[in-house]
Amino acid sequence: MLRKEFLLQWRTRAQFMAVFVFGAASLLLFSFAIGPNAAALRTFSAGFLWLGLLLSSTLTLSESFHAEMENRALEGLLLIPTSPRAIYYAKAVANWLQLALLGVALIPVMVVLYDAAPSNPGQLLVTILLGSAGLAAPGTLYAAMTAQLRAKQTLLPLLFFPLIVPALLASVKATSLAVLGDPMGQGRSWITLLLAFVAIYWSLCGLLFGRVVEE
Amino acid sequence: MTNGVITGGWSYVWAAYGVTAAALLLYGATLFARLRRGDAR
Amino acid sequence: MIVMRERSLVPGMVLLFLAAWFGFAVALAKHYGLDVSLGISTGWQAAVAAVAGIIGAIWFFLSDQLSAARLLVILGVCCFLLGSWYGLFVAPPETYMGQVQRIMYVHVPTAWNALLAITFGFVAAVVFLFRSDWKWDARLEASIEVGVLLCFLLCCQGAIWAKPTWGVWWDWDPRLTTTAVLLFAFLGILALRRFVEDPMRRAVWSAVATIIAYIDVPIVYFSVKWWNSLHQQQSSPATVSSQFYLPLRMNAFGVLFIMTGFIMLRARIARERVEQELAPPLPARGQMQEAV
Repeated sequence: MLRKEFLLQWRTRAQFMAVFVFGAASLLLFSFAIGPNAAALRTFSAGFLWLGLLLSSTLTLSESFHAEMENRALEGLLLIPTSPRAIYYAKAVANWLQLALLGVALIPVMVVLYDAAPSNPGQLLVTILLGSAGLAAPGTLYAAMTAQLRAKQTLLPLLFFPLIVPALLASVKATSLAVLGDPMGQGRSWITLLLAFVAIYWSLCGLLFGRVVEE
Repeated sequence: MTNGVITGGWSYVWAAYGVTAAALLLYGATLFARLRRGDAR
Repeated sequence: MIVMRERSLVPGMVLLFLAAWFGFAVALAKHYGLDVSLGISTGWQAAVAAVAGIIGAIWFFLSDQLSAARLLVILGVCCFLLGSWYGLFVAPPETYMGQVQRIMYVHVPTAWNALLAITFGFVAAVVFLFRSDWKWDARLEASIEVGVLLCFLLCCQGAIWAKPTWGVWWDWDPRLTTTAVLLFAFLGILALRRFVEDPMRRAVWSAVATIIAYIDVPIVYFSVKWWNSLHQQQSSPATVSSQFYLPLRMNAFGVLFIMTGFIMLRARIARERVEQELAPPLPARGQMQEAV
């Protein structure tokens, strides 16, 4: 199941490039919103990175069910004797890795545009991994829902954004500490919060996914 | 916490109560109107 | 399984009377020099009032009768008017906050009831997923809509309170910020309901979304609290001292009864709509006399 997802992702890697360009472009636009104030840009670099990642995630997430919708393959998938839960986790892991990759790819953009070289790259990496996991779990569930609706473009962010506020808060905070320095060692607590969010939502959404795709 | 006493402020109090009362009244009115429309059908 | 017979409203009315008696009649009488407390301590009075009020409201709610809903709304309006009169004109102004303190008499009840409405939505969502009973889908829709209304009011009241107190309309207080996030989350669910046409799918999806959103609430609260604490000291409104309990309690009952009545009425509207969607109305159909 996972292999199929990866195969799909590899085949649509042009898509990934496009989303990356979108992400980088949004990071550029954020700097125009603030102005050429190097200090301010550096201070808010973490926020911009995650906002860019969040906006890009709406693109990747809605795409993840596009293939199924195109060929009505969703019904076919459900006929295979795998539980819907397996489908969910395969898609969620694929989305997660794609978002994490996107996040990592955007780091150099952040470093260059905002003069935001991370003082603690390890923590930054962990934050990106956990934060994108936090986005992927509910995102995949809602992508499955909205893929079948007319208003999918508006509904996915509408449902998804308020939900991931804690993940966003924690990711931005942890990233900010990784970039600007963490004299009091608070980064660990934010990462713990992220971990808790990820644990809760990966289990909860997996549990509920079956109801979402049943006919 | 503020150091001194907040003087006046009645306008804010009226605003808060007013908004609440108005919203509840309006919503209640729509409910009753929809119910009446439903019964008439 | 709740059997839908014509349930008598009398026990509910007794409970509500008890709640009103110990909730504020006793204290009000004491204010004018009478003692009708029957020797029960104030702590117990408060407990009895709260429990009786909530169970009474639930009794009315489960009766599913239109008359019960209307009674609740009227009762609620009376309590709210009484509580507001007391809070605005009788209660003394507070030492530091002055007259602005009076906003608390409407803000705190709204807060309790907003949370109650959203919690009831969560309960309805869970029950619906287990029972697939349309009644609970209707209750889900109703409680979310009323909850959204109350959350919106909460944000307005909070901003109106914050302006004279802190000088800004929004001070990122964790509770208010969580309410704002809640507001958007549940508005999204209402939007979802609007865009899904198949009734069963709409019901299941909004139930799932409600569960996910509700579980998020404490997480959002703690993360915002933490996030905010690094910047400013806790800016919660001063806790209401015992002298000011009376208008607070009256308004709390008022909003509780209004809210419950509204949810009942709104659920009936939702139910009628689903019935229309599932089977087109026959001509000369009898009046919708059966239980909601």
